[in-house]
Amino acid sequence: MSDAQSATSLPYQDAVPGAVLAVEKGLLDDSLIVAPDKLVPLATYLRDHEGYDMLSNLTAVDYLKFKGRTKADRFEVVYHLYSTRRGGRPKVLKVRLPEDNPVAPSLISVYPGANLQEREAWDLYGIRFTGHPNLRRILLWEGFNGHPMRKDWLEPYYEADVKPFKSRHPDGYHAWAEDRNPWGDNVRYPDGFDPETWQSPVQTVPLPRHGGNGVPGAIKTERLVVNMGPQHPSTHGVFRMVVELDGETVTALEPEMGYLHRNHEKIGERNTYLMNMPYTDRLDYLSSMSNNLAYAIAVEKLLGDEYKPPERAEYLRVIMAELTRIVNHLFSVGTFLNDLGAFFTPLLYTVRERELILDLFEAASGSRMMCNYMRFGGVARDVPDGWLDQCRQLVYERLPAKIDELDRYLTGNEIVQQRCVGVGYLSPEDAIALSCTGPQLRGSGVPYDIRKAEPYSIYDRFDFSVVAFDGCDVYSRYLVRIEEMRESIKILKQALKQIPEGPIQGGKGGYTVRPPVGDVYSRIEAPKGELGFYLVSDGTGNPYRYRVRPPSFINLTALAPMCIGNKVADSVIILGAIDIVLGEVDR
Amino acid sequence: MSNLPPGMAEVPEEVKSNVILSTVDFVYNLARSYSLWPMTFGLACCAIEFIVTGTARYDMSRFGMEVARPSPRQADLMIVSGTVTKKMVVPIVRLYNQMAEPRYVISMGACATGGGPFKEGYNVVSGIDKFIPVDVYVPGCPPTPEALIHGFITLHNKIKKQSVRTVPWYRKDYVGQIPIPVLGPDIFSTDPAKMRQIRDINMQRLMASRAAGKVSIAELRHAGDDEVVVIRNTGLAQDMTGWQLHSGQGERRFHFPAGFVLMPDAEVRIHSGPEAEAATPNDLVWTTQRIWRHEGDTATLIDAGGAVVSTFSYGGN
Ligand code: SF4
Repeated sequence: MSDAQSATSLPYQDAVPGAVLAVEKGLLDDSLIVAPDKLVPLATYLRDHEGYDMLSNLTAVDYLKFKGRTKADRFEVVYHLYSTRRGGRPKVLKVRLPEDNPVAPSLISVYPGANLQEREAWDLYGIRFTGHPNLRRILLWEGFNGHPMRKDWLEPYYEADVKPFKSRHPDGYHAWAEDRNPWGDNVRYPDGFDPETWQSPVQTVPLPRHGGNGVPGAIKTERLVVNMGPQHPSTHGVFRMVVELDGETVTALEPEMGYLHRNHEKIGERNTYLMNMPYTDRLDYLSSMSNNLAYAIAVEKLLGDEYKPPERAEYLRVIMAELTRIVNHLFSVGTFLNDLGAFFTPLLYTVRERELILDLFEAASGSRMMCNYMRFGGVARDVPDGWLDQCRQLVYERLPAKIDELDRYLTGNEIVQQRCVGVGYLSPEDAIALSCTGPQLRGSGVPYDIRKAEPYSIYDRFDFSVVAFDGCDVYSRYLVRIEEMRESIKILKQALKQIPEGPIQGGKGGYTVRPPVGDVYSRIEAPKGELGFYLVSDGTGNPYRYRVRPPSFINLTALAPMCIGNKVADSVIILGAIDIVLGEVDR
Repeated sequence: MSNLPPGMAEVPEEVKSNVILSTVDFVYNLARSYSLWPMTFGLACCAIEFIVTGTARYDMSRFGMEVARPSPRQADLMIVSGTVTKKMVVPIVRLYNQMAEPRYVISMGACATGGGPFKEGYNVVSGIDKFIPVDVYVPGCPPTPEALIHGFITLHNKIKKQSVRTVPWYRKDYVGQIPIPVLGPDIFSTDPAKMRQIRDINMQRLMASRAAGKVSIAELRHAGDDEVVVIRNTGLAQDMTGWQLHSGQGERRFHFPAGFVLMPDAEVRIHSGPEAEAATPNDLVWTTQRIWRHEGDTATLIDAGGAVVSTFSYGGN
């Protein structure tokens, strides 16, 4: 950061005077340090005049133990703005906040997609966002003791700041975490806390109140609040929706999550960079290879050119990532039909094909689901003999036929059409404003695909098109998934043709990488949307901040707007069409 | 006559091919073990493998288990398939309580068994068996469908060994309801014994931190017409009879009033200067003269025995 910069040389001084306090040089992108009170005007300007129409990532960092930081700028809220028209690198805004009473203005008025992410920053970091209409805890519960992602908040099983822990390495000795904790369990209470006198703060989920139906002389009806989940067959895991109904029509909806919040990011900050690789498998556990790829690329960006993967590894990565997309979409289509009421049969068909791809994954990586296959600068191991032929057979013969079969059975089906067409409307403008990505955005007719908008790996070499359907409804999202599988097959065919022989690991390899000090945001087009990793390095072997930008979590921002006005049965398929995976939503 | 036990009759020859004699246990267990209905209940990654176990390649229906019921009332088997978080364990215990006996629990995967890769997480429960009894543990992360099927078979074998006479749920004193945990500052069980234990530990810790805490000068505001020295107590209650506050090298001395007690977590403010005023019992007035030098000074707190308890310096020197 250059404090010496004269005020006139700072960007956007004409548009929003005094907004940018400094420009910080980054490893990839320069970031603008913004005055908190000028954040909203600056963001509005960037959105309206510079085309940065999507707030992709919003997160917080606690710089408590970082060199050169003081109490006055302990917290930082980071915003990554993208343009869906131009693509390319982001505009990075940073707001620095003091230790006591960190307050930032809410960006909801400019980017409604900030909603859930700001709530998450409040929950985990205790940063208040003024102007947020519903700043409640999102992943934890009201009454939880403290804000766990802060660096000075230690979990009950805390042992040391970073791994490898002394108790395990180099001279391991065995001690149960439970034995080190006075309560003998993974809990910690404030000193003197008495469970008998505990009074829970109000937990009820507030629903935005709408006035009565307002029609004079109409029958007086009462609103009914229905709770769905966390144990509900339609919620794809442990997700909860609180729905307010007028008759059968949804008048308000509040998503509740955190039932699978397993502290991915806190654990990730204790791990070394490589140790996080298997954890990424468990984010979106249907598409572990994509997660691996996203994380590997992010760390490689942090490490620099030295860790550029060799050709063969790049091809293997693309093949795995595209197979993953097919796996994910197959499963998603199957469960979506489940939600429609076609219980299990379509899923039986799609899972059959998925199994064949999982066999390939198992042969290459050793595991069906949790592949842990990518490494920084390459992949873990080469594929075994005959693997590519088996893959070719699948890609050239079996899968295209089976996708056509699915298409034939489902797409034209009258019930599918009746239930899906026109349901869950999301206009393209809203989709962008709500930070939706992936099939949900392309189902609203916005041809935005990061493989084209900001090509990573070797995607610029392949000929494929971005699938978009402009029905803006559940049906279009379904169609996008079917067509994307075909496009993936197209990419796979090219990749399988071009894949060269050669090494599979570049860089120095090894277990420990120590990237230079700096931060990087890197993203890929995962099957569910934009999967990003925001990494801050302090020069050690452990990430200082490890943030996952989960696509299905942020796509959920649009759930309530899409459901309101539809029937309650439709909210189930609207959720199904978002294609959430709770491992990623709650992390 | 054959030598059958008393009360038993011999089966006539012509009926032998039509009648099967067996024990109640055998029939009961056979029926139960081959119609175990699992609850549709997925927590995390492991749930995907559970779903796949139901599909064509693995075909759970071979074991009579394909009838997955979304309602706990109709289910016999809860497969805890994935990471159990503190937020989720509350509904899980409630669901378990709602299941009718006989009920079984399979803990599927490393997470459900002991926290797995996420054990150190602050929101993760170290194994579902801390809350509900588990019948079969299936290792793996995730267990393959084959492993889960092996778990099913193990459970079947376990069921087949049970006897109606000894199973707990037919006993008179059987309760079978598990106290539902509560989400406080952290999760706690509502079992009275556990609650008492938790409170005792918390109180002990409070006392220990109190004992380690002490009385000290926290703040000194020397500017203005109301100079204030703030003395805070982070330890146990302290009788301050005989204590003194010195300025500089001891030029001016303030004596605490006899019988003045500073309570835990409380602070006492010693005012000096023209506008010094005792607004509350914890505001004490030293003098209406100014005490503290603007360019820098030191305050020293001395206890009844004459030992220095705390000092506070500011300014240049
Ligand atoms: S055991 Fe492994 S696969 Fe199963 S829920 Fe835990 S992390 Fe996921």
